[in-house]
Order: sequence, then C-alpha cells, then structure tokens
Amino acid sequence: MLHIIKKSPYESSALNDAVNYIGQNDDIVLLVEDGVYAVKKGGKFEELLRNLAQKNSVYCLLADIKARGIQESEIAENIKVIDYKGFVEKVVEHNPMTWS
Amino acid sequence: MSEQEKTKVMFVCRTAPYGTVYEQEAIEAMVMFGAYEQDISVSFIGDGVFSLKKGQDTSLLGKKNFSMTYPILIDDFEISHIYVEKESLEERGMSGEDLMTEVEIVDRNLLKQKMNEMKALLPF
Repeated sequence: MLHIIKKSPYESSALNDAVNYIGQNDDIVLLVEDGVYAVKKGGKFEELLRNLAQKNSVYCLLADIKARGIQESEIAENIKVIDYKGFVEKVVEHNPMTWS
Repeated sequence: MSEQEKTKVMFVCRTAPYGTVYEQEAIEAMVMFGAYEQDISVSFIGDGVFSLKKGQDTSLLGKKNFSMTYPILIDDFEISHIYVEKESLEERGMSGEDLMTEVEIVDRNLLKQKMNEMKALLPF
C-alpha cells in the first residue's frame, strides 16, 4: 500500500492513524500538502519518521516542501524527496490510501 | 453477478459525525456503490467510531441523524461487512455495547489484513 498523508500532524490525527496501518516493508509513505510539516528536523515528529523510515520508504513531495519554505537541509534523515513524476510512479506501483 | 466478478472496496471512515460533511458524503457514496452490486466493506477507525454511537439525537442541531442509515445500508444495500477497530473504541472508553448496530469489532492487525485484500480504499 501507498499511504498518502495530507494533513499537518500538528492539527490532525492523519499521520498517527496512518502509522497504525503501515505494515509490511513494501508499504510506503508519502507526505504531501500540509503533511510535509512532519519532516522538519527538530520537530515533534522527527523521531516517529526516523523509526518509520527504518523499515518503510518515506517520501515527501518537492513542490510542497518548497512552497512551505522547508529547505532540503531541514528534512529529517532518510526521508526522500520526490517530484510529481515520482509521485505518479508510486501511485501506479501501489494501492493508494489517503489519510486526510 | 458472481462473487468473483465483484470488486472489493472498503470505505474507511475516520471522522466524527456532524462536525464535517465527511460522513454524509461517505453514506451517499455507499448507497451509490451499493446500487452497482460491488463487494463493499466499511471500516470505522479513530474518531470514525463515534458515528455508530447509540442514542444520537440531532433534533436540536437541525441535521439528519445519519446513524439510523447504517442498519438500512446493511439490509437493503448489501454491505458485506462493517468493521470497527477495537483499539479506537477502547481509547474512547467505548465497547460494542455502545454501538447502535451489529458490527464486527476487529483489532488493528486483522483490519490491516482486510485492507490489503481490497481493490480500492475509499477514505472519508
């Protein structure tokens, strides 16, 4: 499954709910829209994402981090940045579930 | 239509009723899918479990009481399964006795497996 997280973890249960349902290693996670606020180094969710990234691939969408002024150097370790083309590829490869 | 030809879809309801339009939209979509004789499951997780709470009275709110719709959906629109996540109920101090219709209370791991069997997941 591809878990797409669209809401800021600071105002929504989307990320926490998703984490409960992220299972097998072939499950992947993509943070988009306000969901990208989770990636910030030193933020409340850095550790959660670091643990998640140990077994599942975690991505964030380039357009959304840029729009929100998040520099690539500010992104927590092991979180990969992908563009719209990469986003489309992931959606084709996996069954998507959106947590909004 | 034989069982094999039916597409397995699951509605995943994560929001409490009345505060947003999600539940209303979900029910409308369920009715629509029901008409096409697909293999439909509905799961309630997180605040979604509040949608099935007994004793909802929306008369003062001037809104429709959506919880009354679920028993009808099961009987007339052939929704195959309604799953409620056990952990979400417990976190909110609830159990099966607090719910207004017959549902399957399942733990997170089992529900995760069910989700993986679906052709499509429809989040609300």
